[in-house]
Amino acid sequence: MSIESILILISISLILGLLTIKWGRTDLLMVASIVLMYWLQPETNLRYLGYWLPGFSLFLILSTWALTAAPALRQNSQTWRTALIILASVILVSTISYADRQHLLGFNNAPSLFRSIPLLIVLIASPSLLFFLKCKIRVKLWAAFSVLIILFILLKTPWLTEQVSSLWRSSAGQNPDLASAIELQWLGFSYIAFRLLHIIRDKQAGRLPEIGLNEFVTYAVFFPSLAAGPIARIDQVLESIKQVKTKFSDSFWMGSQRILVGLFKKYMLADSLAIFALSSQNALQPIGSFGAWILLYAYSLQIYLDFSGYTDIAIGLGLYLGIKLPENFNRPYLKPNLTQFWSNWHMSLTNWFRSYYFNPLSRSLRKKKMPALSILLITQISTMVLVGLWHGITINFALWGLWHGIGLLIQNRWSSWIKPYIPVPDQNTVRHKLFQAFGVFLTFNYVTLGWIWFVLPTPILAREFLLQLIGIR
Amino acid sequence: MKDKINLLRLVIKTAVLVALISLVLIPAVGNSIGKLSLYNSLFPGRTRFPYSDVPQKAYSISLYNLDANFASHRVTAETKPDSDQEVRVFLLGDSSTWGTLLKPDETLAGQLNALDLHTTDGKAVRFFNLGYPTLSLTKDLMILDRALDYQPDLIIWLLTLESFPEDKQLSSPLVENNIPAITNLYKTYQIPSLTYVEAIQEPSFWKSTLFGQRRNLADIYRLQLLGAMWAITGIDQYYPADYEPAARDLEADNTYHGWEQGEMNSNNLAFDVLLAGKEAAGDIPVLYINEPILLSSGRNSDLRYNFYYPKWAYDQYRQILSDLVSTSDLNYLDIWDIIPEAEFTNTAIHTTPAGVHLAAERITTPILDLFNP
Repeated sequence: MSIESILILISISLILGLLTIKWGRTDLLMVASIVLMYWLQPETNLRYLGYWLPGFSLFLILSTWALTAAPALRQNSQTWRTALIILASVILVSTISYADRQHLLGFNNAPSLFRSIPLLIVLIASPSLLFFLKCKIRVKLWAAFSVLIILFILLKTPWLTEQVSSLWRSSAGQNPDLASAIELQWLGFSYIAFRLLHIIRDKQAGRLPEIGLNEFVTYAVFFPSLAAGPIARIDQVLESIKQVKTKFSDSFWMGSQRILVGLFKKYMLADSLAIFALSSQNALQPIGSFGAWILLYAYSLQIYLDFSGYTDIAIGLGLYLGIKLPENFNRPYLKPNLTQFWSNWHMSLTNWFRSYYFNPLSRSLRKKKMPALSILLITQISTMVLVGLWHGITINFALWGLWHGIGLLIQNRWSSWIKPYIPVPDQNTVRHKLFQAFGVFLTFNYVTLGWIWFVLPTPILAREFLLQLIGIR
Repeated sequence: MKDKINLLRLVIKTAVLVALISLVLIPAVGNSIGKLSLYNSLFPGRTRFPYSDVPQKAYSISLYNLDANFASHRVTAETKPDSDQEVRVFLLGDSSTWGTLLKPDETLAGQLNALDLHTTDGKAVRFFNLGYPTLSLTKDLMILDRALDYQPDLIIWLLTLESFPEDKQLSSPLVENNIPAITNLYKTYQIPSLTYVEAIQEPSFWKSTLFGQRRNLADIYRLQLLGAMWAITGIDQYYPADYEPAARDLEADNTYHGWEQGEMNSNNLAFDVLLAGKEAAGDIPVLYINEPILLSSGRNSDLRYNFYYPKWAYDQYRQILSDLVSTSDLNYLDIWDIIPEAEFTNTAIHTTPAGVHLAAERITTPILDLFNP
């Protein structure tokens, strides 16, 4: 996201933060989030896709709400009023997008209103048909869960994405031979999908609070966290979506600090490091292994500063709006072991996997009386592979996950084995500090080596780079 | 603690600080901020000036701060060794000297260094590539003038007609963005070709503030960061997998810069800039070389040598240059036709490494002759 876009978001957040103290809070936040979802959606080569994707996001969100909302909420007048506001917002955006052929306001071009508005009405209204679908709620929820997973797989598997792109091109009268996986960029889908999956799983577990339609939509597409998270749980933000809990001056002060820190991390440090950080272009260009290490360390720092910088900005914008988004990073590179690293890196994602995959799977395997080591092996490695695949369904992301899964397993076994021999030293002793420092060094380097699979697109390139690191190539 | 912070006071303090930096510090430091450099300390100096439109691929960037360009160059790193050990030769010129599509070792300076030349009294001859893409003698003169600070023993100035027309003199962005330096040259050497710099206004004060300098500062900062990639990879230029070869089939156009045959003369070409270079160099010898051009054998090659030059214009230029050499006692070498057509790459003056090698071999003896009188 460009710095200009961030500055616009800051201005909008400040104005909204002031406006929503007194009135129209939830509706205003929802409308702003919907409009900004359209505005932030990147342009693609696929004709009108940039315009339709936010509409598809809304369709998924409204469908999930229709399936998970309490029956009383579905019928009340507030819901219909919200639905009309959503429709009006989308029609407004469509009209602006259609009228602004020069692209001056930054929205993606819309097709003619005669074609788009009927389809939009269908997209927004059709989820209400789910109210009348005659089948068990359990089945409906699993069906919705499966649809989201299938969509996720479609969008994260390069070959499948290319096929979708090709299909879209054919139907839009474009040359399908030019289709590529990268032209299908659905803004925030990974985050929206995981928020919706969390809602569905909590509904299945019977722990979902009552959520009005406007609160639900705001939660799912809350604009500060749309592009790069964090993936807040609904119970973490629901109350503050409904009403402001803190004084604006406090929120302004704290938010500004976070935003300034985020801007500095992202646009000063991360973007500077990006110039000499490891990439598929420069991986095989270093003259010696020392240079290759520099590229790798630069990437390791860049990805952290980039991602955590965005998170700081998102949290700061959220604070302007009176919403405290969860933290995503807590000095992960200063943690003395891999378990602690993963408890402090992209925390909202790892917590999601812990809650909805790792813990349920562990419980299920324990019930089957599997040996503890096998449970650990299966749960830890599969969880980390899935965390890897969340970034994209490719061999290298799977290898990255596997690298961390194995690392966690080794660390777990080592800790258990060493414990009886080395008593835990007093926290203030030099020995303890040395142990900690060694642990931090080891963990940072293990994580850094893991980024090779993350940043390089193929195993062959990753292997070549590894050979270069050790001076063989 | 946070409640005690007075927001208004903070905003005022910040505004005062920003104003001081922008309106006082930055204008006071001026362009010399470019002298601050990580090159030749943290990173090795570059073997040619930074120049690229695709920094992310070339690990180089075009910037117009002359100090920053020099500070990133290896020539500023090395203090001149004892004069009985080494002599320093600076090569000036356009993109063919700089080495478009050539790796640093394949440029003329790189290949001359590879020849490991020595004078008869045993001094090593070291060549420095001070060429810069864009065709303008004034740009070369500006570089020459600055390069004198780094103690050359010989200056080789590679020329081609396209650098001579008066309308080309200020067309290089490096020149356009250094008008005070050009004005200074004009005043010092009284160069008639540059009379029109008098009409150009000096940059305003606002141009010297942080706001006016933002592009300059950002470019200097990026140049420092790109130094890491230069150090790690040794790459300073983007080499496309494929390029459009220089045209061999030419238009039947017999004009040059709008001049018909007979209209071009020494008055509308900047020969006085060449003489100013000699004057600037003082006791340091300058060897002028008319650089190789593509001699096309395609369509209309009876009218034109190549995309740039109709035959009459180029022949006339060579004649004027030759006359000037005689009257002004210049060291001169004409190697315009020594490189076969097949050794030219994407323009009529850019050659392959093999083409450069031919030129390097051809000029070796005349260079050594200047050191071994």
